[in-house]
Amino acid sequence: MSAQDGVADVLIVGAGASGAAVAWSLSQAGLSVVCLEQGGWVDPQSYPHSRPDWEHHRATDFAKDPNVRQRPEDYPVNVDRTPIVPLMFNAVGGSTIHWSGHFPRFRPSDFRVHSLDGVADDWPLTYWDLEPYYEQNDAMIGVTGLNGDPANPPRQPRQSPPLGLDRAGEVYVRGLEQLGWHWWPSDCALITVPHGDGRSVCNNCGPCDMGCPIGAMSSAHVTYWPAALDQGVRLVTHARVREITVDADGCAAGAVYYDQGGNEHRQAARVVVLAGNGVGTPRLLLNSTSPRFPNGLANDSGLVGRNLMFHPVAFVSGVFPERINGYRGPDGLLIHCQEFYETDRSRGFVRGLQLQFARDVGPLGTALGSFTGQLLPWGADHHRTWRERFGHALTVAVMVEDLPELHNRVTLDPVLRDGHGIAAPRVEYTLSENSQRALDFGVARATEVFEAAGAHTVFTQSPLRNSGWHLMGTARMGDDPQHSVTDRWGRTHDVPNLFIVDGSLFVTCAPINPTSTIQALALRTADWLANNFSEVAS
Amino acid sequence: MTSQADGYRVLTAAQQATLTAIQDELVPPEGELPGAGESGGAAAVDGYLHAQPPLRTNVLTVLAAVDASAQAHTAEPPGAAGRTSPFAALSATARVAVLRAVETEHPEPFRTLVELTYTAYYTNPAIQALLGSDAQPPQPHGYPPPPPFDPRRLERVKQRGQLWLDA
Repeated sequence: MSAQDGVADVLIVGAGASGAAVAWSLSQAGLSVVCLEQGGWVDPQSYPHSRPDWEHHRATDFAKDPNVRQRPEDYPVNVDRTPIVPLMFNAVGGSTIHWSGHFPRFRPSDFRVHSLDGVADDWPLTYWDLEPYYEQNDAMIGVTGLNGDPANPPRQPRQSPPLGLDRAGEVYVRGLEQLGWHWWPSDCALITVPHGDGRSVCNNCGPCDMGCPIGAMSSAHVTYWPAALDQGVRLVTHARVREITVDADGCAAGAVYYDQGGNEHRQAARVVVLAGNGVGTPRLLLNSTSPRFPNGLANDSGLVGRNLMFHPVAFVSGVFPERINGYRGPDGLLIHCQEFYETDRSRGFVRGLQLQFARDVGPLGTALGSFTGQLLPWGADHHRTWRERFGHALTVAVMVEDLPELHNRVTLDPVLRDGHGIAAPRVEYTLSENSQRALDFGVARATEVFEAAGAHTVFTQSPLRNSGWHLMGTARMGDDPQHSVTDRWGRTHDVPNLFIVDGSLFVTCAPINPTSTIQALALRTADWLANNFSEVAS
Repeated sequence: MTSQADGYRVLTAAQQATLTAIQDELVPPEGELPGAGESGGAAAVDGYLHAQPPLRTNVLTVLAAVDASAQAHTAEPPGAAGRTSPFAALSATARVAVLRAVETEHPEPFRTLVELTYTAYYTNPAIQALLGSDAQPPQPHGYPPPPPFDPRRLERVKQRGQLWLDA
């Protein structure tokens, strides 16, 4: 269905993980959909994997940090007041281009944190409410994994089997079996058997975080977007939204945006869906002021931008005498440990953590100190040290559950502007004592694994500054309009035809990667919106 | 900065000479492997400085400090015997001593220069060829996949029973 009179049924802002899923779902339901994306299509052939200087591009013009990358479609972020830097990518597919594709699901307990531990809040929905949408999302994009994990509820078979244990996997399992801890092949948004059109299966190359040039990663631009475009969605690229406009009744009317040339455009819609991220969405809401909403759109609660959660991360690297070739293989498709996932107050903190058993870097990354940043020595010992490290090291990511705190927030920077003169976000974040204790505990456990596995040297970096992959909590959902920004369907309490579908919705964040849950929430919201469109749009 | 006749866009001839000599100490030749300087590292760093001007201050600080320190180690006047780099004229032992002193005095700028030198060296296709096939770019060939996963490896974990809370 095409938009009538230039008024779309639904306007989506953002073409990443959640925006793509919503665009596909709503267009399948027959609604006319327009999506505005500030980035463009990125040609997979432009990814640096085949270039000799691929590791240099990974750290500069193809970095995950927009302040480093500084592409025209990126907006700057003031990070002077945070020990963790937010990471993102602006393009069709969004940050699912720059990811490892770790694709775990939250557990039932993750939706009941307040009831279980007396901290934070419960979600206004349960795992079981979300379960069918987890399944729908997996089936749509293709996920690799193995059934039977006793640490998670049963689920449908994944679309691809996991890769077998390579040398890296065998080393980790050696340590974990000695310790008697839980481990399981990781769920990963990647295919090892054919799934979908135009995609190749993984060829084990390694640096998934630079984008997948063969389409094995189940990124939004190779999964949802081709189908959504086939269903008639109009995707406008290089369209940077300045503000969401409202009508006299306080309902969302559409958006004002700039094209690449700086020309101003307007897109009207009956319903608006925000699908940015935990920084971009509150930024847009705070920039959308009007007489009815002087403090930002949908911000009567004052919670837009507050309760920012990252997943604080520590990297622990071990060096082994034997050759492991840890740079081979997809980073998100190895194994993980959920032995310390649930609360045990004897550890000195509430909630838990996951150990993600990752791989290693290439020749330059080795010289630059691998994941922990300790440069190899220069001079006479350089070559010997490089030979001892390259292909001999592995890194565990300790990822802990952050808890929502009002003072951790996204605001508008009073000075900083993007390329179109729109106020840029400022991130203010303090690592809590609870998260620090969880990191310390996790570092000690990861070190135990390395020691049990036979590492002769262990390095640690905690907390990792460049670890703001997951941006959550800044427009939380809930049943009480005074303590949340949206209801249980992602519909804002203050603006009845404005929805949010990205990680901003998270009430709590579990100690695991969020994209599986973000997309499940987005599909659930889209399903409800399609079924209630007449009421919402009236 | 404007292009120069030698193709360099930021560094002068004297700075190139000093940088090349420094790089051959940072990553010295060994066996078939050339040093970072003789493998063309200065030209690569010049390219980084052209593309990323904020890096220039740190690199030029180190080059100036190294040459100033080297000048103090030699009785020769600047530019003697046609040399453009006092540092290049020093003995190997003296070069290392100068670099250690500059590293102590200017740790952050020195780290920048080391990082850029490593970057130039390990992204050089000729060096990658000497380091072996696994030092090549990861695509287009990737690596052979491991054998299929053997679920029997998980028997111990499965026998622990349900580990998640049905909350």
